[in-house]
Amino acid sequence: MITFESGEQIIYTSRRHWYALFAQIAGIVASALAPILGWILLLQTPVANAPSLPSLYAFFSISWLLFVWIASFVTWTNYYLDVLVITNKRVIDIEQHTLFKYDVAEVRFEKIQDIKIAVNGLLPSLLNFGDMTIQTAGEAKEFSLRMVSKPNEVRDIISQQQSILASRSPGRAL
Amino acid sequence: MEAIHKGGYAGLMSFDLKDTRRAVYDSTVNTQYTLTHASLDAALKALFHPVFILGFGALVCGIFVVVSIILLHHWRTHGVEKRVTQRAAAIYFSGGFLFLALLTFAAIRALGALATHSQ
Repeated sequence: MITFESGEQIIYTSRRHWYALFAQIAGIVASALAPILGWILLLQTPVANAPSLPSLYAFFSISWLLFVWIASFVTWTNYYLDVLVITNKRVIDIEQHTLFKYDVAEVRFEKIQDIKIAVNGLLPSLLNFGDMTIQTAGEAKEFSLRMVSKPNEVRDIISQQQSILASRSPGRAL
Repeated sequence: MEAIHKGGYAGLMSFDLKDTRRAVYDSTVNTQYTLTHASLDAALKALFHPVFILGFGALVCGIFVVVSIILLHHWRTHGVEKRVTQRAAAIYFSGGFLFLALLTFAAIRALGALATHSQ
């Protein structure tokens, strides 16, 4: 998905915080429990003892569980392929929306003007994740990263790489 | 003696009446119960024809196969590490085939139930 330039090395790779996956997986687990809840509710009705109903219910429940199983792996794949890569030359953000829809955005260190971190709420503060916005001098004025794990560490790495690049080419304004 | 006879007769009559009422009541309830289940089963049979069950099962299997190919393609070509890909594939396919086996078993049972009831 990414083509690296010659001499380009990966400094840091990060995915979204695990909470992003956890929130989706929690929904999937709740969906997996739905047939059990449905059967408990159905048992309260007088039609629960119809001879062919349990077999049909089991058939459709297992079909549903198979779909849930597939959905959980699609969710995991979307999470796993959503990645932030910092190299010694640029920051690359791959945002996987669905299996067939993704955005790849990149910004070079010399284009970075400002980095803003937003940690909003109790859970992001406790679990150390937040949104990061990188102001650039390029056509794309803003470079947004959502639910970045350890955003302060990521900002420090970017700043460090900017300093290294500036020290190597002192004539260039960063 | 006559009084005892009368009392016994009255007792017998009352018992008979009570028993008859209970029998009529049970019969009515059982008839309603049977009718409810019979009508539900008729509705289920009309709704879930064996061809529908087979078609739905085949569709589910088809979706599983197509999604598996897409997922494997993504894992192998979009930067997922080989070790992670192998682990993910192992978990995904073991779970998936378990569900497919359960689905086949459930489909056979459902078809059997529909066939038994249609006789």
